Amino acid sequence: MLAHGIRSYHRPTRIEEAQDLAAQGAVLLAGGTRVLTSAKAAANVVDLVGLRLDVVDVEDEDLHVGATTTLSELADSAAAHSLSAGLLPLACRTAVPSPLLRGMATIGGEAIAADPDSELVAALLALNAVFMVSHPEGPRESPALRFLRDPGRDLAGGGVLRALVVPGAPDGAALERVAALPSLPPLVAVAVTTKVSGDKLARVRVAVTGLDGPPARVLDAESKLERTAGEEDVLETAASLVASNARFRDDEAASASLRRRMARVLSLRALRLAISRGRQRQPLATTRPRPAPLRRVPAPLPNFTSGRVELQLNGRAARLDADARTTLFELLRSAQVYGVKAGCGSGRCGTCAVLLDGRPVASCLTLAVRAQGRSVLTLEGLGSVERPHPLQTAFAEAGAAQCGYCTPGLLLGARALLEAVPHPSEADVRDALAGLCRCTGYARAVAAVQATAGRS
Amino acid sequence: MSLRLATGQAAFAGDHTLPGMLHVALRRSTSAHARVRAADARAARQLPGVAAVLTCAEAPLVLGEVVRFVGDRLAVVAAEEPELAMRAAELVAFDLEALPASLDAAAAAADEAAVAGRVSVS
Repeated sequence: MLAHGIRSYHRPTRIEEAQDLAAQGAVLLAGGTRVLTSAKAAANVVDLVGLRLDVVDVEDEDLHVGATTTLSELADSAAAHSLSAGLLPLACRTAVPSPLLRGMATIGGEAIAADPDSELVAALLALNAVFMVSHPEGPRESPALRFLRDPGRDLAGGGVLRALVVPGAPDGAALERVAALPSLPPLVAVAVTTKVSGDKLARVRVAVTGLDGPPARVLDAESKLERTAGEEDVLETAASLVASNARFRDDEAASASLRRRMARVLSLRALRLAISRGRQRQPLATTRPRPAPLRRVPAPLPNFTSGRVELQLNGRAARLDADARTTLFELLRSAQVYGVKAGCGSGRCGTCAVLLDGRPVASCLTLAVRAQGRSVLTLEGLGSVERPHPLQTAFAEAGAAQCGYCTPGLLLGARALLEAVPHPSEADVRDALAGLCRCTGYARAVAAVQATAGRS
Repeated sequence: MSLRLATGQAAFAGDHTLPGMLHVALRRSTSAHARVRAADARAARQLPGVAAVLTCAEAPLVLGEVVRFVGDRLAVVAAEEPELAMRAAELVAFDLEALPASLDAAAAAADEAAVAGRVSVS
């Protein structure tokens, strides 16, 4: 319902147009997971999808990541894995554990949100990423230490975050976190990168979350470690410096003193791991990389306030009326597509999931106008009672549909997974379905997906 | 049945649309324990499309004059659109008398703990 303040929608293809609109106060829209759940109402939004800022590539040993690259694409990128010692893909996964939200949320959006508890922001600090901003006053390159302290400062006056660059891969990395539940933000997380030269630590970066403000590096701890051989007593001293020098937050989730104590233990653990991995040139373990799905870039749309949205709905051409503020969820329900259901309204439950050009999205966090000219598949389009999709048959046979309410997210997530990975491991299936059902241990759903894969 | 659930064909309560159907929104308490001294629903009732606004004055059995927890029901609105019902629910003005509340487990276990209501077990 937070989309309801939106009055106009713009989809430019040139970054200068986006800058002009941003300078006039329009809100930049990338994945939608932050903008459409923000308490701050946006009246005019600028969709960045037409700018094609979603490319990941390698230049001179540096990793270049377009700002609208989704966290899923980064988590699955072989280049991101090898040029961050595995840290960036891992942080994308743990920072946004829901696969549905991870497929929508973008690296730029997460960086700009400056979430004080984001381990992804801590990872970008530990990797010393550089933020490339297009600005009406000329391009800006802002290092992580500056940009992530207050992204609004570099973006004010029409700035658009174009890309970020991770310069020079670290030799080793570690990310240690503690949270009340894996799906909750960490109370404290510590990200460490190391560069090793012979026996010595040439460079160590330590960044921590859970502070009274955005995640931050602990420079005193880093300088204590550099040019040492990383002896145990040095690590102890450095970990104590993280605990004593960072300003931890006191709130209802944890006291500052508890966070301090946890930070010391996590720092010690992360330092040991990042140093030994650095010495062995062994990246953090992660699931195997997958190729990014092809994305179609929609045509430019200068100024949409209300009108007709034309889309392929479950294989048939559909023309539906929408306002700029209408969500895809509302559009589909207004067309009596009841396989799309209302749940949490924040993209966490997946019961409003649809496949947009084959990719799972939460329709409650997707503006209807974004579906213009694209294909939308709902549970009804996957198959019918008379002609069910093999996944639907397998779900019915295994009793995996249970009450049926969260089934859209489970089935469409499974279908997207099998398109990308025809023979997934159990871990792949569990990852693709994570967080979508609150009632079960997923045993029957996982079995149904694997049975379907086995038959193909 | 299972296949109907897996194909999106099963109808849940929210999937039914009937002629003249109204949408309900609740106004909930932001106070842990309070007595309703007065409720003024005139502004909410004046919104076009609002069919009914109930407070403890109209429905004392469902909406008691004492709210006992944050989120307890203060008013119910029925309107032609869900957003309209929510907006109208926010327009009901309440004069609340704050009553003592126990806000953590230790306070609730104390002999002099504030009690918001008793359940008799027989």
